[in-house]
Amino acid sequence: MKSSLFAVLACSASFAATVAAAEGNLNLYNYSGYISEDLVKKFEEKYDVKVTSDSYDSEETLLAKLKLGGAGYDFAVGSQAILPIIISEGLAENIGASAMPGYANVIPELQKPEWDPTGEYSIPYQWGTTNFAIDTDVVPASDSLKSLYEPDAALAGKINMFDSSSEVIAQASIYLGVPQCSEDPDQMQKVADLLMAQKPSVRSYSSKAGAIRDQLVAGEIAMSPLYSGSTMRGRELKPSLAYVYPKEGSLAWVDNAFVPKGAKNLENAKLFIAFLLEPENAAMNTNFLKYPSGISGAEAFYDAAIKDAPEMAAPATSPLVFKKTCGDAAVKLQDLIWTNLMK
Amino acid sequence: MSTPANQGKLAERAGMLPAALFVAAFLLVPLGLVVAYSFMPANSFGGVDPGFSTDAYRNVLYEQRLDGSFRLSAAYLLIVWRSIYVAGLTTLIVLAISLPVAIYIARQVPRRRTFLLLMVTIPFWANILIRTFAWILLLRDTGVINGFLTALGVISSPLPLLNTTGAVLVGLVYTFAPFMVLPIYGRMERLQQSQLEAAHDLYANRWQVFRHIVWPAALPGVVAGSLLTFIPCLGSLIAPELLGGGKQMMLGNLIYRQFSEARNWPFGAAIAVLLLVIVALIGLVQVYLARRKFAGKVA
Repeated sequence: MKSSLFAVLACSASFAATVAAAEGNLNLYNYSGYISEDLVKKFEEKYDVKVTSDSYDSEETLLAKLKLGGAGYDFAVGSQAILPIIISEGLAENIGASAMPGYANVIPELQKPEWDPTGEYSIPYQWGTTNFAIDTDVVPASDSLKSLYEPDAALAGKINMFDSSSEVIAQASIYLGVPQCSEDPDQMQKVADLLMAQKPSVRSYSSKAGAIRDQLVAGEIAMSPLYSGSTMRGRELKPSLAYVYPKEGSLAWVDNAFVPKGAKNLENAKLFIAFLLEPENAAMNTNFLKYPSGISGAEAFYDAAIKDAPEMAAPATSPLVFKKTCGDAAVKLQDLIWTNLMK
Repeated sequence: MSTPANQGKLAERAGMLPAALFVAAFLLVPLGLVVAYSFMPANSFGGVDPGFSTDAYRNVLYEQRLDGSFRLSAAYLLIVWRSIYVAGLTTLIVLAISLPVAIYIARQVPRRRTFLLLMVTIPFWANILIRTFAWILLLRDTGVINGFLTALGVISSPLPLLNTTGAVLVGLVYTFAPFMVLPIYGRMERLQQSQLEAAHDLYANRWQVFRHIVWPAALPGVVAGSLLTFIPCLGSLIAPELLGGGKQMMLGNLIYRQFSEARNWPFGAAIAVLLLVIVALIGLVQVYLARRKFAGKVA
C-alpha cells in the first residue's frame, strides 16, 4: 500500500517535471530593475514561458559570472565596452541575430556595430549618453564640457564628479581632444593636470546616480556628470535642471542583449531576442527606463512625455563617442592619475 | 602499547582539533590566499595569473610615472599616513567621550546600569550603512542641523558640514564609541566603592582619586577599547566615501579600488598585507608594554 502510493507520487512528480520543461523557462541576467515588468509578463503569456531573473551590480561581476560558466543564464545585457571581451573570450552564443527577420528593425547605425561586427551575437537593448546636468538657475547655459572641467569660480563647492576613473577620464579626454584609452604619457598628463585644477571646486566624488539626482533637486549641488535618463527623472521634479550635450562630444553607451554560452533554454532565448526586436515591445522598455531604444519604429509607441524630451536624442552638434574597455597600460595610467588625485 | 598517559595526551590533542580547524579555516587559509595573491601577476580583467611577481610590493614605494620611469612615490605613503592620523584622532576623541560615560554608568544602581548599557548598544541593531545615511540626512545642506539653525535665524546660508574631514570623524566616532565604553565599563564595574571611600578618607581630592585609583583601574579597558577603535578605523571604507565625499582616499578605499576599477588584485592584496603588518606591530607594542608593566609590579 505504502509502496504503491510512493510510486504514484513519483510518477506524478516526474510528470510535473516534464510539463514544466515543455512550458519552458528563461533565466535573465541583467542590471537590477533594468527591464520592464510588463514586457516580461507579455512574453510569458505569449509564449507560455516562465521567466526568472537575477541581477548584477557591475560589468566586472557579469564578466566574472560568465567566466565561471554562465551559471545557467539564458539572456544577459552588456555594454559596448564589455561585449568585445565577452565575444572574444567565447562567452556568448552565436545566435545568428543579424539573420533574424526582425534585425532590419535595428537602427542603421547600430546594425553590425564595431563591438559585434558580424551582428551574430547581439542586438542593441537601450542606449544613452553620459554627459552632465546643470541647474540653470545657478549655472549659465552651456554647450561645452568647459563649464564642468574648468568651472567658474562662483560654482566652487557646487559640483559633484563621478567617483570612477574610467568615466571621468573618458569624459575629460573628450574635452581635451585626447583619444579614448590613450597610452600616451603626454596626453594623459594633460588629463591629470585638468582634473587636479578642477578638484578644489569639487564638493564630492560620487557615482550614485540616485543620490546625485537627489542633491541636484535639493539644490545642494548645481552641476554633475549624469546619465540622460537620470537627468530626465530629475527634471520632472525640478524644471530648472538641464541636460547638456557638449559640442566636444557626448560620451555614449549602448547596452546589448546577448545569450551567454551554454544557455540551457537556447530556443526560448532566441524567441526573447526576436521579441525584443519588435518595436512595440522595445518601446515598453523605453517607457519604463526612459532611455532610447535601439529599435527603429519604437518611437511610435513612446509615451507622450518622453517622445520629445531633449534627453532622448543627442543633437547632431554633439557627436557620439562610445566608451571602450581600455587595455592594461591605459588602465595603469588612469589609476595613477586617480590615486594622485585622491592622495 | 598505548599507556593511559598516552591516551590522555591523545584525547587532549583530539579535543583541540575543532579549535585548530577553526583557526585554519577562518584565519590561515584566507590570510594565506591574500598573501599568495599579493605575489602573483595581475590578470587584465581582474583576478590573478599564475606565476610569481613582486611588482605589487614595489608599487607601494615606487610609482611608474606617466612616461614609464620609476620614482619614489609619496601617494600611497600619504594615504597610509592619513589613515593612521584619522584613526588616531578618532581613537582620542572616542576616549574623551567614552571614559566619563563608562565611569558614570558604572556608578549607577544595577538596574539603571543595564538600561544605560542597552542604550549604548542599541545603535548596533541597525546596519552601518543605514546609520551613516542617517548622518548624511543630519549634516547635508538641506539637512536637519542646517534646517534647524536656519529656522532659528542663526545662519543665513547652510554651513558646509557634509563632505568634510570633520564629517568623516563624526561618523567614525559615532560608530566606534561603544567599543570603548564597554571595555572601560567592564573595568570600572569591578572597582570597589571602598577604595574610593578610603581615598577620600585620606583627603585625596577628586583629581588625585582619578589619577591614582580610577585611571589605573580603567587602563586595561582603555587599551582594549583603543585597539578595538583604532584597528577597524584604519580600514574604514564607508565613512570616507559617504561622509567625506570621496575626495581623499584612506587605506580601505585604496584597497577596494584595486579590486574593482583599477583591476589590480595583487596590489590590493599587498596593501592589505601591509595594513596587517601595521596592526600586528601595534599589537606587539601593546604586548610588550603590558609585560613591562607586569614585570614592574612584581619587582
